[in-house]
Amino acid sequence: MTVIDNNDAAMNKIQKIISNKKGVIKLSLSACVHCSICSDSCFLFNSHNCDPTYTPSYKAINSIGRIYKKKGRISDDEYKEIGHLIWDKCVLCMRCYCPVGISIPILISAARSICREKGIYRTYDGNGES
Amino acid sequence: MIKAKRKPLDEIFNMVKDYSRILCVGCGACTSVCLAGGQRETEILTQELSECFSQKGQRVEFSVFVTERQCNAEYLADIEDMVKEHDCIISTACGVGVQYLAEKYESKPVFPALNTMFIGLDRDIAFFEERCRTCGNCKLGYTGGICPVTCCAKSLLNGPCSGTNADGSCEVSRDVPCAWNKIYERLKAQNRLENILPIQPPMDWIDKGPASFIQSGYEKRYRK
Amino acid sequence: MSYFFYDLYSVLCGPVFVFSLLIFAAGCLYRIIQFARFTRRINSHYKPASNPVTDDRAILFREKPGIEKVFISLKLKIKRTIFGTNPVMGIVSLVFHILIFVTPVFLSAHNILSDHYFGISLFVLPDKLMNGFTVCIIMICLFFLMRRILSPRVRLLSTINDYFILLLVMIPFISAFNAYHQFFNYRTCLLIHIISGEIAIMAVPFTRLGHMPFLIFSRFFISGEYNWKPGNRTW
Repeated sequence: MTVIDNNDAAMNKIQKIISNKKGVIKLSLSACVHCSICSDSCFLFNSHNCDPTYTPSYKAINSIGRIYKKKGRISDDEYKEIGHLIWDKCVLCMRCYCPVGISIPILISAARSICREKGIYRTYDGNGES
Repeated sequence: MIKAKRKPLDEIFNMVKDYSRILCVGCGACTSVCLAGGQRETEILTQELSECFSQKGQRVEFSVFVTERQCNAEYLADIEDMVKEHDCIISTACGVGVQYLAEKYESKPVFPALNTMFIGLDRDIAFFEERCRTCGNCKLGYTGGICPVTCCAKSLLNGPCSGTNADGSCEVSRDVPCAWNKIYERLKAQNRLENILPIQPPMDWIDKGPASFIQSGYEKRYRK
Repeated sequence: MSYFFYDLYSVLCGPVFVFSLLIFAAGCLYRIIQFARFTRRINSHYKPASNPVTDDRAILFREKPGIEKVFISLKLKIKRTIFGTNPVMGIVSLVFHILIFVTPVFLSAHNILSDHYFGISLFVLPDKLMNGFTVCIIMICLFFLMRRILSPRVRLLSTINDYFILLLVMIPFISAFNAYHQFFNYRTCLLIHIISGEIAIMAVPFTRLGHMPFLIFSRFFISGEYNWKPGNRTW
């Protein structure tokens, strides 16, 4: 199922969020050297046996990076995947360290607000979407 | 979020000096955000403690694990195996986390590494200000979004005492603004002064003015 | 053939080099403008009411002579940086970034050329040392490559671009090494060296190598936990 609904009120809001944050997203994604040094500073990475999908830059690139590249026009399944990545694998403690100086939390929080527009968020009662 | 400050190293060392296998459990929630109990701070704590121990000529095993949240049973279960292998636990969570950890692993001594300070906002990096005393009876709706319980030195609910200085500061200190002066000014600007006319029943609180603190090691940023 | 080589050589070393520097400068300027546009100033006028400085770590230094105090605090300070958490990567990348700047700038051959074309020259370091530096850079590039291939966390992040960039950085040094020792065809190596070096210079602001200018913006001007100077801008 790869249905992309473009004519949606949510899509308009997503476009707005993307255009608001366009500069930081573009600059950060292009400056990231994929060195993975940020993984050491992520406590979730350390407490999950160094699972590479917990690397902060991986989470940022595969959430906001994917959304940004397609300007938000990705399928609902993909949004769900992204939601899983940024809600279950990141607590947004804002403590990731980037040697280049990229602010990863800003990227992930942008991805989170886009996912919220799509109705994908964490509910903390076990009945959540993500 | 909850803001905490690390205890002096002496105090932590004195609590754990008789143990040889120590588990440091960090918390990935509030105390991570306030730069007191995340991955990095927990590691720094173990490094400093092992330096203390090695100065005394002792060899001590440290393990570090940061849970997602220490106030949640699901996440605390992650460390069950590690707890068995250690003599004592140091928790860098807030008071809630320490107590929950102690309750969950009753046979192990659990020590706090932080002093839980208050619920506050982030003014700047590592600079926090108290904003809520969790009194359980929020009055912000009629006080123009300024909490008299937290921000007034006497936690008065029905207007200021007579200690307000001419410049709008509190009699406690010139650095502390009078909360009721601020409430009055804001409500006046919003044309809502009738909000504070009805008498509010008293609450039993013993409090001081709004507190703020700087995380250790970040003082340099705010040197006047 | 040989006239063609000398013509090409002098064009590449003169105007094309200047052009590549201009592209580099223009690209950096573009990045600076972008940065200024996408960030905004924050004026935090909030000051803490009281600012007591407490020595929480006094126990570490009690009854210690001065020099040992410095030593202990330095040791603990280093431990909490990348040199403590990931010392190999920390040292290797620090050495790499210093050498990649020092080697081309203080090489005698480059300085002779720049003296010839522009009348500017800096002090130079001995060629034997430079030879060693070049070998170091190539080895570290290979280390980065192996890391990219072998370490799961880096492999997961790597794209084809990352390998290209690494290659782009490596080629000028490998060809320079070959040209210096005249291992293969000297002229071919030299031309490859010049062209690839100029492409690398031009690529800096527009590719992942853009972390060179980006680092300065973000570490010096953005307000954040890890910046080197408390900045007053935010995204």
